Amino acid sequence: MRMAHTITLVLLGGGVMLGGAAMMMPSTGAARQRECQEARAQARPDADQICASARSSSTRTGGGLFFAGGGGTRGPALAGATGFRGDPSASSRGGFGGVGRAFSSSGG
Amino acid sequence: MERRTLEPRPDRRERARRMGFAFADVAGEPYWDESAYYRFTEGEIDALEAATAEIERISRAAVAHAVANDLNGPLGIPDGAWPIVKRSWERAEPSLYGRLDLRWDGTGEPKLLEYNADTPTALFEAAVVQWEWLQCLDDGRGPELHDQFNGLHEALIAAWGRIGLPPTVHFCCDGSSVEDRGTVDYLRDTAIQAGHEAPFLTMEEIGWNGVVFTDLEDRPIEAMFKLYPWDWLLREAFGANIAKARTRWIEPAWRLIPASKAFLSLIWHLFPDHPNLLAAHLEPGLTGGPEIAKPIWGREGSNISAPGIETDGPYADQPRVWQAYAELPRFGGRYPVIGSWIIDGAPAGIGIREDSTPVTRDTSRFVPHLFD
Repeated sequence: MRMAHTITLVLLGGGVMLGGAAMMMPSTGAARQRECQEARAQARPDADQICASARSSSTRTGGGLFFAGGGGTRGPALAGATGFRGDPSASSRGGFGGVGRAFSSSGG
Repeated sequence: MERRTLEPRPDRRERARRMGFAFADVAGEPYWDESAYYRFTEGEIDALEAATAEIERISRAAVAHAVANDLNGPLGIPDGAWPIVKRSWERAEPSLYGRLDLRWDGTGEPKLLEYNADTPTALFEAAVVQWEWLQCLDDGRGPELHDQFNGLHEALIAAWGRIGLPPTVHFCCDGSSVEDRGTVDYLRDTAIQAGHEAPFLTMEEIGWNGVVFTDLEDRPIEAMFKLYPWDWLLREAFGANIAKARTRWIEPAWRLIPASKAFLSLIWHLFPDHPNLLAAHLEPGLTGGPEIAKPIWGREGSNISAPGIETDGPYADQPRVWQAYAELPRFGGRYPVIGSWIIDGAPAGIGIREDSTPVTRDTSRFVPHLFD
């Protein structure tokens, strides 16, 4: 089923090649710095972890962030929706994301 | 199909870190759990692949039926949003990906529990992390003797090139969820490898200039991958602009149809007694046996009721669908759900999540698989 002998990531992990003889080639320092800068600019919740990794090779476990907060939060009712709410011309940004702020995850 | 235990790799956390897997552990507990794996035979994988293709085939037929007969009401889709959904289908806007959640124990036919057609997650784990695990597997037989139902990475890269998108595809999600962000970043990774530019912005950062949606540099957003449900988008202030804008959305708006759990009732109505379906209705008591009630826009096992099971959550006031209850099989004290991935309309691999209860929740663990 699996055709490739390696998987290449160009963004995650700062760029890394998995599998084959290399098994896991480390990403470059420059790539990690770019990942850190992007994480900071976008205020990602895991930015501190990413940037710590960019500065050193110390372990970054990634634990404790996912699912933090939001548990049991009651979001806006979706049942019986009649469609759009609010004034779409009220501002040039911020017209999306309102429902998502009430939940911990959009995925399923 | 069997569940086997093994000793986790001592360097699994370092490996997860190096591949950018930011949610391998959750609150000190493993989300990625390699203390066990599921082993299939090649014939069992063939059965899963065939069932996935068949469910996708009948799902597309059911979507076409819903559009042709304006069944938005029973599906819980508001009248104001229906033209957007219909137009998306009639334009044949391609789907990138979706995940069927299947109940199976290796015998009989896999049964569809639900179709995560709009915002499926657990993709990076399925495509990359479990594959990397397999490369390291040392069970005395050597990794070359094992295989995995997993062509996800290559399929995604190929799909980006096939679905007719402009050179720049913007990606967005709610910025506060590490899992959502990780899934979006993995998809960005595959889009970049397919030759796209793939800038990211949060949902709140999307702009509207009166004509088009815009990014933070006020560039028009021509194509947008959003890990943000259509049923949320269409309720928000900017939702009214979607019909006016020329933006291509991934997933397209027609995916709202199979994403509604009321779709389980529709597809059962159209394909009664189909071997890969469980009976489902929009009223209780019609399946002829024990039932599970699910909110039609619910997620992550919230607000469901089944024999001996009641879960809480934010979806209590939604309409529900009643599906014949088929308890998940139990392997080693764990209840697995098989997530079978469809990329660009074709089966492409599986990922398995398991829980200590028969309900798969946001805390359920991802475990790898192999076949030989």
